[in-house]
Amino acid sequence: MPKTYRATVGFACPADAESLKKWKAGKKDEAKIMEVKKGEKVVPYNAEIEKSWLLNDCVEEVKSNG
Amino acid sequence: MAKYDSSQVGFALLGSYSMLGATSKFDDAVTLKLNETYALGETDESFWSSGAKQTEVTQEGWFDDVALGWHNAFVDLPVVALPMTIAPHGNVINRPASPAAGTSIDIYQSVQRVGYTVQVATSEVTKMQARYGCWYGKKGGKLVAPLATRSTAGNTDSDDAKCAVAQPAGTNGGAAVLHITALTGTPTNVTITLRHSADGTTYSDKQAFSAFTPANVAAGIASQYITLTGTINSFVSAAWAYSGGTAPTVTFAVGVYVAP
Repeated sequence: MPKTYRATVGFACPADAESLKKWKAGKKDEAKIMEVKKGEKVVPYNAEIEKSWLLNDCVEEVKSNG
Repeated sequence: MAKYDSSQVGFALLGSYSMLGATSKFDDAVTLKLNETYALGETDESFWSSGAKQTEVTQEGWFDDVALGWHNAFVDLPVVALPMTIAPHGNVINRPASPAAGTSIDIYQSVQRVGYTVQVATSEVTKMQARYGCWYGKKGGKLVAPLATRSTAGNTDSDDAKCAVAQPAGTNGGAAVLHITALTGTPTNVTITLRHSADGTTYSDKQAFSAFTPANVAAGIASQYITLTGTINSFVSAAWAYSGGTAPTVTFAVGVYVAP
């Protein structure tokens, strides 16, 4: 099950797996972009974008108490 | 080594004013301040440097008197100090392309207009000599967002602008500079944010500049130098967003300085 994160800063990245693929291929104008505000909860759509979020230090994992 | 001539100067901005003229001579002298350290009995002078630098800038040439041009910037010698940024390598990002270290720009944190001499004035142009007081030494920065007009809210993430070859660009902070030269439509204000990224995919907000209004631009003061702390990643971009109004456009440039 994918982890849920909270944005520690505002950030932007490709909005879905297909857009990420286009972004990486240099077709950046065809990629949809998601804008995330600080404090919003986000769920990564694949492992690659999750790695990018963590690399850029812009999310923290939301842990439940249960 | 790449060479850049006068025609390739991308922009020269003081606050919201453009200092590019029909012809222009620009002198920029940076001096490392030294203190004497030799004592009586020594045969040679010796000096010690604190690392402090002093920058002196003068400019001479023919300028027209358009709004937000040089003549208007200097005619009354306003006392407000403004950031000044010059892009001698052009108004394009990542020049040269290799090494991919970004486009170099010169950033002057706080510049006061201290001298203005009109030498000749004809119907269209004015020849003048201008002298600047620089509160801090010049910093070698990188172009984040070229001077260009943008409409709806967005960002320059897809430009892949870089400010260093290595990742991160630095861990000791630095500074960012913004110049807005036009803000049209009916927005209440515009806020521009410096972003950075370690991988060129996810761009996080590094720091926002103050919001600026159309009145700030008309007054020539829609410009800001902000200090950055901590890590600055090697990919950099700018995002812009408006508050209120309809059909907004904004013309701006952003630069970044990474402290060594």
